[in-house]
Amino acid sequence: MKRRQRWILLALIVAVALGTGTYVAWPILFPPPLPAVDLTGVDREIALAIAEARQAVYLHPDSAETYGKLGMVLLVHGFDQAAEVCLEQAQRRDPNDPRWPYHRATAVRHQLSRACALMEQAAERAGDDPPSVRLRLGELYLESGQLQQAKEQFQRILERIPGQPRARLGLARVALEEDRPAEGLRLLEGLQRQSAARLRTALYQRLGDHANAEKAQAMAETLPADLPWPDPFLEELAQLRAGKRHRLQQLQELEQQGKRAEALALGRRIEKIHPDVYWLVEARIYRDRGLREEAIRCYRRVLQLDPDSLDARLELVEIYRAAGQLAEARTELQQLLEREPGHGPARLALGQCEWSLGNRSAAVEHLRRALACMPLSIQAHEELARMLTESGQAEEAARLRRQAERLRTNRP
Amino acid sequence: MKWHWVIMAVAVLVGVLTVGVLLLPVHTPEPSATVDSAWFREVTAELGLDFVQDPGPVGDYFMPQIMGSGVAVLDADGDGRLDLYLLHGGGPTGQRNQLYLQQADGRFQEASRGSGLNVAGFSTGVAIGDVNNDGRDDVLLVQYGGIHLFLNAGGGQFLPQTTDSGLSNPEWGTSASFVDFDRDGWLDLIVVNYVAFDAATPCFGPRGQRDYCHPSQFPGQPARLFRNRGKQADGRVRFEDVSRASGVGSKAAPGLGVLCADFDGDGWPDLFVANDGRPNHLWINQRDGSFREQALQRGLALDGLGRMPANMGIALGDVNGDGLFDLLVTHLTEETHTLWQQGPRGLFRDRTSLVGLAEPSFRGTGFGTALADFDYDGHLDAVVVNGRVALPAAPSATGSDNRFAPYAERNQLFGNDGQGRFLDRSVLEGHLCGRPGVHRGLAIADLSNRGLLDVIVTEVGGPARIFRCQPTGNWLVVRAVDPQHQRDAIGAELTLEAGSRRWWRLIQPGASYLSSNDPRAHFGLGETTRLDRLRIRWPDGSEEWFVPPSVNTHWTVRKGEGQRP
Repeated sequence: MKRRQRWILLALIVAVALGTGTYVAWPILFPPPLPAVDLTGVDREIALAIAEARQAVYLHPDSAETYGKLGMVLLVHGFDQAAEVCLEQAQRRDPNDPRWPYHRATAVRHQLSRACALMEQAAERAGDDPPSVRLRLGELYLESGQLQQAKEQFQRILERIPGQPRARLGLARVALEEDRPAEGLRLLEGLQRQSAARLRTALYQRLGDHANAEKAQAMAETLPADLPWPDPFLEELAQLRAGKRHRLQQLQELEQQGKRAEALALGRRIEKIHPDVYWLVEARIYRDRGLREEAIRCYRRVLQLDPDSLDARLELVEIYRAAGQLAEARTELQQLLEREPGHGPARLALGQCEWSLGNRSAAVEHLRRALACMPLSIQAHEELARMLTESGQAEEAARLRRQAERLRTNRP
Repeated sequence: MKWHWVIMAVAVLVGVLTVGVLLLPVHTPEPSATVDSAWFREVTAELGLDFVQDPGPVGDYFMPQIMGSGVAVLDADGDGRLDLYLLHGGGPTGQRNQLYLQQADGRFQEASRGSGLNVAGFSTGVAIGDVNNDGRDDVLLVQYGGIHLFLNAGGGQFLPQTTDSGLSNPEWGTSASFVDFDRDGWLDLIVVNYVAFDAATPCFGPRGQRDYCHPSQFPGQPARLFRNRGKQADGRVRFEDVSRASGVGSKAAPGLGVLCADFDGDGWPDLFVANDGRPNHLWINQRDGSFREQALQRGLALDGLGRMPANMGIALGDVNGDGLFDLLVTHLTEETHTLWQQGPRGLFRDRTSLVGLAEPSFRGTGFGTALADFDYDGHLDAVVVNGRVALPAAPSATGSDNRFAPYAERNQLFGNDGQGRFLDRSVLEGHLCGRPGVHRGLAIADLSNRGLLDVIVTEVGGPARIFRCQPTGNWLVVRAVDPQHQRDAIGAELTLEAGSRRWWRLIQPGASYLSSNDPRAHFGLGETTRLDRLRIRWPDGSEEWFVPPSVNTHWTVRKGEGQRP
């Protein structure tokens, strides 16, 4: 080879190497600015979680984990577009981590082709562990009508984990689409999920077995709603969920399970960010123990911190009404209705208070307004009918009773 | 040697430039919506329509508010021109519903005052039908908490006749439709009910903000079926509530859409009800006044994967030209609008992926919908109007003060490729699909009586809009009348033939969501200029053949004037 040619070859190699290096390193060395997220009106705890995750990215811009965490925080609170940008950066920094393409696929789930392509990358990196990645890929294929590809994913999981329920459900769906209902039914044998029962219904129907289809449908009605499939990536995502409503829901679940101590501990943990939630927990504990004054004091504290708290105000009204403190209950209801004039149940309760306090015309007026807000409320019809009867307006009262009766008979 | 360095420098430059080009953000320009490429242009202002829906007080997150109100196309004053009745949802103290009469110049003029139709309330749906067979369109108004019948007295005047008509529905009614289910010549009525909404429950969005409640929080309600007993001794029509006796009231579900057609091919009308997040209901007429629910057996209860999507608006039409009608039902943003194709007769299969509806260019929460031939090529296209019912997890930056802006979505238009597959042409339709809104009702009509198809769209807290498409092929508009009953032959099935081509249409204005369409059948014919015959199966099951006139004309066919097969 001539010397000149050798130089040209070397130059080409250098060009390609430089090009590749720059292509790979450029976005890492000069990442695009973090996506702007409009946090107007967003729950304080969520905004804080996003801000903290952004801060971590500024401190460690080379880290896939920080970009990924920001992407996940954004994703779990529904900022899909911004999440995808961050998760793409995370994937550039750590192309072997299946979580990033997996979550990116979730962020672009409405664009089926893109979601499939990203989930393919995730499945390639995850292999078969956790199986949820390949299973999700199969489901995406199924949604986009790529039955053969879907079947391959489900079968691969079944080869590894015989009887895997989600894979069976997926294959049964493929069988339905491919007009093999008998095989679909065989795949669903022993699967006790509402979605399986619904699918069984469709499979029997395809077989022309209407009796069993109806049985399966009836079964589907009795089964509880399906719990989410095990998925470590989604579980990690769920851990990042924040916000007052989420905390209140967590507290409610703990209270329903009788886990008072855990509820209190959670309340204390979030005291700084949601002090009103902490006081609401305290108020309910006092209320349930029959410590009325303490409960009222705590509810008042909640309302100082969050005057819009419907939960606190309505629960406080109940305490007042139970104790016969109707004037106090009326004041609270009036304040609530100033904020939410269309709150039918509060209007109804205010009418009842006014009636008990002897303000009959005001009571009837409130009941009429309650009925305008809630024309389907049997209670509002009957309560107004009662008041009108006692006020000597029997004809209108009778009409309202008939209407209430019609509503009652139409209810399943 | 110097040239070595020159080669190296060039190589480095080439490498870096190549990468630079690769890293440039790829900008895929959205196809611009030019008037030339779009099928539709907006004519709202041109036609003088200035209706803006009153959604009621904002801030309460009163659930009926976000479900919207519909629109009806009718000839209110009997002048042969179609008029519009538009509904408000502002409650008893809100705006009154508005009637717009079409003038000779095609413009609309409000004529609500004194019409009898200008009532207030949480109005939802509307159905049009001549209930007393006097040759005039009557109006059935559905509200959250009640229904109201208005009899057309002529000249754009309507008289309320609910109290002694036997009609009562103190529920959250949504869509309604007239249908002569017992084939006695009098139009009966089905009213679909949604949920037993409890206003006490405050609901919240994904980021903790107040939001409208989800229907799954409340029990669904059964539909009501009213049999028209005809004119009584006092000259008034009476309805009888046969919900329980017929079986239609035996199943509760959150119903949103209704469409009456002969689903099993026995010549008797059946009732299809789209249920939100629950299996759909298909009430098959047993020809003895009773119905049997067979959605499951006929493949319409669940989607193709055995799931229960949020079924809302309904459109019916033969999308693949096989002579059997298919069914399009609109769904949530997270789902796809579903197309159930019929075949064999009476059985349906979800073919959403196959027909290209699984991956549109963007998604939306669909309500009003229609299957019609908007490009006059002889194949049915699909239009879907969208708007969310709950806050999106991440709001798009609209920069708008409108409280409903976060719920706004763009509409969609899918063009039929002639093989029954749909191509998403929403990005080309700047007028119809370019502007986000909380769209709900949709009705189609030939308002101008010139063969131009119009799409009338309603919006929560926004203006009603009219979009008009220009004929690019031949057409025929057919009005099917039953002279014995002096009204449109609701339920008649029309098959137009030209050589080997067949076009199928149903005379049934009650479809879509909360709305009522032009009762006439609109055929797009493409380049076909010679029509062979029109076969009509009348609502009573009898059949007749008619010889069609030339194309591009309006044609009224009367029962009894055709040839018996």
